[in-house]
Amino acid sequence: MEGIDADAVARARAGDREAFRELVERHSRRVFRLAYRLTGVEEDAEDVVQETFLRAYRGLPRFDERSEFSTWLYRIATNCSIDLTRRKPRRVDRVEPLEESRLAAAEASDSLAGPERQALASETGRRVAAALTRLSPMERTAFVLRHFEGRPIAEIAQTLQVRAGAAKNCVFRAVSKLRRELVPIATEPQ
Amino acid sequence: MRHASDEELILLAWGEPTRSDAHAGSCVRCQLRLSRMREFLDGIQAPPFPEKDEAYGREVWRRIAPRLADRPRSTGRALFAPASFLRAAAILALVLGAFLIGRVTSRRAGQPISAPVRERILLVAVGDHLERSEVVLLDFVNSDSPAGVTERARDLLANNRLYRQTAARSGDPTVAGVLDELERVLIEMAHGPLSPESREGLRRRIETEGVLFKIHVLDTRVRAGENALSQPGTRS
Repeated sequence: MEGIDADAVARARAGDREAFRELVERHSRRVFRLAYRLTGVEEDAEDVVQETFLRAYRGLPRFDERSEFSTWLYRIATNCSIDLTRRKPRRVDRVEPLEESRLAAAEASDSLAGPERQALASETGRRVAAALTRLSPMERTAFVLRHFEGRPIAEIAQTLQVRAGAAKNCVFRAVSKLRRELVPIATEPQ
Repeated sequence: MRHASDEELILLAWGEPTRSDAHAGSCVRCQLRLSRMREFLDGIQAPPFPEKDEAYGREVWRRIAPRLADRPRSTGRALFAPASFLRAAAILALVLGAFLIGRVTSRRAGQPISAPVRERILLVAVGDHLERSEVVLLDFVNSDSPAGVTERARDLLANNRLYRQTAARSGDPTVAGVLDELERVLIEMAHGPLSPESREGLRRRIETEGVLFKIHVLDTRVRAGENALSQPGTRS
């Protein structure tokens, strides 16, 4: 492991709590962002952040220093999020179909004025968030990691502890469901 | 000439390697479909999230510091650590048994968990079991040498038996039937390394009998029930 985390990780492994504090303060916001995207609920994301660092602290003796600390940490956060989502009943938001006029506006969004475009973007964001709640935990995780976090399929498979083929299938199912839900927003691929 | 599949287009749109890279690069039709797929995926922007300021890391530290041991230890697991899943599943199965017994006998006062809550716990557990089974079967079908499939199938087998028996006892032949089919597949997978012929035979069986499809449909049904129970105003 190289980079800014290496020294702090080595000291934390030796029992230096201040070093672990550095890591917590450095990574909390990114872990929260990932957890929020995976759980969709702020309170749940907060719980995941805390649980992630508690697990990371306990797992430090097993951490392979050849790996990147941040990658390892985000893997823990992903698993915490999946566990939490599975334990809690999911709130599924209904995706309302867009009105004809809004659909036309979505197709011509480039020509909209600033505030109108912003309102449309906000509506689109709500619909995407609602559509994501309809995915299973594995589908949602695979999609978020690939599409929003830009993680390669191989890494997603490792995180989900499945083969690459199964990770791809999770992503395909997610995209297929999202297409059914969101096609009015975007142009449907033929 | 083979055009890129939808799945390959999704991967191509994200820059992942596929077998269709070369073809899609030179085929006008695939290029058009790829550009539409990119357009669709580009339209899915990450929903906005609550911004956390610079002080957030300090706040997280303040919350967790009292819960940290003096030195990092490998012992002790969080309540919802993945390794505790099997134990949790066993407990859930007991809860499930109690729930179903409760349905056929008279209701008694002093039950610690209400029926809808038990039902929701059951649905969450069965939903997770089905999803894990689906992933293992997909691994098996899609890979020539699926790693750890034998062990994962064994892990799933014990829970599957409990759920199947419970479904049969509670008079749900459809669920019991799908779980029975799944169990027969899991038993073969759990028996250890299969010869190439046996593996191919099992793959064909999974495909021709539509085992994966049935599991997926049942999972969707279970998730729908789970979601219905979690809606506010649902019976409590």
